[in-house]
Amino acid sequence: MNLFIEYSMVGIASGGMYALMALGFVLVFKGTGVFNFAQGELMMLGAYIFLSVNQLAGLHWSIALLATVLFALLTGVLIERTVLRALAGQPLLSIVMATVGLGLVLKGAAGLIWGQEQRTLPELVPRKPIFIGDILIPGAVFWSFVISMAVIAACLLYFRFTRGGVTMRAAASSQVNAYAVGINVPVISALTWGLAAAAGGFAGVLLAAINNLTPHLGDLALSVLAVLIVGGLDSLAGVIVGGLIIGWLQSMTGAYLGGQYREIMPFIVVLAVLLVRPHGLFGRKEIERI
Amino acid sequence: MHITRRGFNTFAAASAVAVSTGLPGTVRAQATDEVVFAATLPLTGPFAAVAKDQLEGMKDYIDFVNSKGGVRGKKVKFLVEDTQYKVDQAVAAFKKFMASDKPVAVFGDGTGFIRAASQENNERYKVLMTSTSYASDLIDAQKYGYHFMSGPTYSEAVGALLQHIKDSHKGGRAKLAVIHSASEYGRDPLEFLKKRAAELGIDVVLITEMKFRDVDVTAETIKLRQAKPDFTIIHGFGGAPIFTEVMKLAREYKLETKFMGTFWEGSRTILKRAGDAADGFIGVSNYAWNTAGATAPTLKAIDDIKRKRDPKYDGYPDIYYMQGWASMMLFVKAADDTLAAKKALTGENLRDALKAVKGWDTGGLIGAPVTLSGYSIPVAQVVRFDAKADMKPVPVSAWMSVK
Amino acid sequence: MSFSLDLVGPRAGIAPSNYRATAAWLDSGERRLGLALLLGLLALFPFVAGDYLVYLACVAAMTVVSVIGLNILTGYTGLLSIGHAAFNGIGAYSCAVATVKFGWPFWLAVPFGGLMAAFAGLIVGLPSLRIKGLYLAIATLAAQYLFLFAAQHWESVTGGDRGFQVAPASFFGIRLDSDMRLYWLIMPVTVLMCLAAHNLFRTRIGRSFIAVRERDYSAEVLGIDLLRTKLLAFAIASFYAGIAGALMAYFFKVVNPEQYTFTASIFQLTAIIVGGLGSVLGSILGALFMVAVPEILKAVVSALAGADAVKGAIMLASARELVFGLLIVGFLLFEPFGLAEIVRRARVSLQMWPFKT
Repeated sequence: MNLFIEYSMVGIASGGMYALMALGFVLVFKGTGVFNFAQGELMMLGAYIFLSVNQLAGLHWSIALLATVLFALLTGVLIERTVLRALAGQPLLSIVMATVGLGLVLKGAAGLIWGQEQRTLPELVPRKPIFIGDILIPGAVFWSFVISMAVIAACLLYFRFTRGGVTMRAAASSQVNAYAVGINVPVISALTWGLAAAAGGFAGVLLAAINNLTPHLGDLALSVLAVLIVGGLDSLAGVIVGGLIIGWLQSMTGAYLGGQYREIMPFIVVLAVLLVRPHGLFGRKEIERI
Repeated sequence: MHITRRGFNTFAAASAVAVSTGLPGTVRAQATDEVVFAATLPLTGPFAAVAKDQLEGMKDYIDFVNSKGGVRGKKVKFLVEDTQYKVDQAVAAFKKFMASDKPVAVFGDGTGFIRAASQENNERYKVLMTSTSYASDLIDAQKYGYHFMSGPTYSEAVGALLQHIKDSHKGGRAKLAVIHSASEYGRDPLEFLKKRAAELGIDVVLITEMKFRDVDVTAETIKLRQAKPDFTIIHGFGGAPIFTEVMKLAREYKLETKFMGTFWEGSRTILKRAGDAADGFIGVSNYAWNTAGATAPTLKAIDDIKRKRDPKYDGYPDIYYMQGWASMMLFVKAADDTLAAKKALTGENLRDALKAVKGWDTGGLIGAPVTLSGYSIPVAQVVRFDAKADMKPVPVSAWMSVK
Repeated sequence: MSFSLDLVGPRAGIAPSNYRATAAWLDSGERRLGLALLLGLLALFPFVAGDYLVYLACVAAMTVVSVIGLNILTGYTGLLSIGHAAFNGIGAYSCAVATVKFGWPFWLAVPFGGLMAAFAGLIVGLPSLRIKGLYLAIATLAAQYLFLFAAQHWESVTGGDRGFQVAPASFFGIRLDSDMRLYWLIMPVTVLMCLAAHNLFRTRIGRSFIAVRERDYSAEVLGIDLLRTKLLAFAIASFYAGIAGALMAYFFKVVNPEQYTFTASIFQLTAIIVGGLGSVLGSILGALFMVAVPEILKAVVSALAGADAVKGAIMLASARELVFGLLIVGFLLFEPFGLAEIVRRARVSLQMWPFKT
């Protein structure tokens, strides 16, 4: 029983990181209806920007983090302005493939600029393990959980209580009505992308600090697919619940079925959820069935 | 965005023209005064760090040979292609070599490539091969008759580790855990390990697999803590430093287990990432590990080259470098013996020359005379990495046969 | 979406007045001559080209077959699949099992690979009853990973990571053991598959695919059974992928999980974007282009990197990703109907010359 609790705690804690990684996907999907396959590469890019500012330019990590978030924000806006807006109204395939293409561009560019070597980021979060009774949670896992939850909570509050957030929600729920009440929808779309990219860049720094950094860091992003599908592609609250559920499930499968099943469990969950409840636990139900 | 549709079309059309005219179709005849070797290496992808060092070792040795006048007067030409550690890319690179420069010996990037290329190689190209792979079934005169291994197989390395456990463990039966990568390479020695451990009276309490890259390795570490092994063998990660994260976490969990690895994990560069957590890591080294002040000719040559390049070189090249060097030594040895017997430089003759090698002195690189009739070099040394001495490996066994 | 642009669609300046004329092809001397010339060139090719070009031609041909399949599903029927490579894999594995374990000859094993893939396609297609669009795409992606998992862990059937080694096919005592000989298996199959695909869209079934893509509700109102049509599209597309996969098994002589990954699926999607959605000619052009681009890049990069092979190789992997990405985005923005549209425009202006179109 003790072991069960330990695996559960660690699993749920590591789910925090999943939730943070999933946040960027949800922001873009909610705001513009695009599933951004380049989100992982935006994370990777963020981590490299951090690395460059922090280690190569030798600036303090807080400045580097700020620079990362700003740079990611600009990249997001730029991507929306140049590619996604031009493709507005195009079929799903075009938009999906455009984001895949953007991901490849970012990955290739990062490889050319920073090379393929593995880079190590400074340890941003303390490694010192946290003891809860007899149960031990690794420091990195615990603090990423806390930070992730804080970031997502901040996002939730922003959308709930600030003018900018409410405007974004309005534009997301109905573009026509948003136009009608005088909201500048194109600017909001660009900002949404910027925000998602910034969230991605931040997640990337945290992820790369725990893992190592190569241009392939973004590949890890697809592992949160299950989080998105379980929580619903357009629900911020769903991201948290989905992240924790998937983190817990992965820990359980890893513990009781064996390491190899950890890999595949998220995809089985994806298929199961898609067949039973395609819009996820919290997503808006607007799936056509024909 | 100032790219117009017409501009883009011009770009596409230009590419199309390049498609029709730019393809490499020319076949070059091999010059008679040179001998051509080639390597397919995963210079990008999960094993990029390994391949880079390997290549450095290969090139250094080839340059060294050429600076001494080549192989009996013939200069060595050396070609390399990246494979991203993908079988189809490696096969394509191989075919490209065979269609253009026609090397007589090719280094393969891994197990998959040797498996994929061997049939066609046996029947058609007939070139000598060695590779990154020490997979246990690749020494097979029937199926892989052109493939020689520059060290013992993974199973043999695991055998050496198990023997070390048996010899060094005191008090009761030793408990052993195994963490391997989720790949063929990772799973290769498992069957042998289970069998051999049972024979030696070692209890295998945990076998678990991990990806090369993962978000979180905590679950594996908790399992380790639960299993409380005396020893933990880590196999199949090569240059992927994720396994050092397990070691670090295990130490934070106050876990007292002795970590061990097979050949590719025993890299100083990688182990340094784990810091103190890697102290006492036991590895299996196929090659000598210290060149400082060495008098044996090969080690001295390496020492000179390394020191010339890097004044701060401390006498311990990475094993990846040594593996590259050793692989090319096999090729050059084969070519040298073939020419000495006044035979033509064909892959078949090179293979026969290597098969006939007995009691070869590698100049200190391998600490025992080498005989290749069994298609591999089943000698190795168990080493311990010392965190206090900048993770330098110290031998804990003599050079021994691990067959 | 687009009006279907085909291998031999109606030409400029000709207004067909009945259905028979619309559906006709090879209806003029020039066309017959053109096709004969093409076939002649393909037959001559291995005798004039070097070893490596023959190798590339085989790779390109197999890619063509698989990409046509994907285009039938995604380009013609509008069902986005991000897991096409899994069906290559199922074809390859089925073929390998048939050859290695049952000892079947290749002329049974290759169609078997296709049929098994088609069957798997039916199963993966079933959710298209409930979900569509992005969610269906994600389901195919999940299916891709399930396939990889099965290939790795269902060892009794798939041989695990090690996979299979496939012995060369043999045809009336001739061992098809070199690329040169395999060319004579792969190229005819490819030509047949191309012609079959072209013909498919002259039939009721093919046209119902297009109707489903354009507007599924309207298609249903017109009396098209949606589920059946979608399943059929999945089955045919997977059959093509399976045949390609089975040929790959003979060609690469080894079948293992790492050949049929997400990256391979994306590669094929890129080919249909570059070539042209909903076009057989586009599939062919796209596949050829995608096989050729890395080769050209290799030449360019090695020229740029000079003697430093390591730097060149490392640059190449990144450069390839960058160029593939730019091609996808570039074609989507500036030439959404791909190379096939460029060819069509060229053909029209040639036919209309000296008049401007």
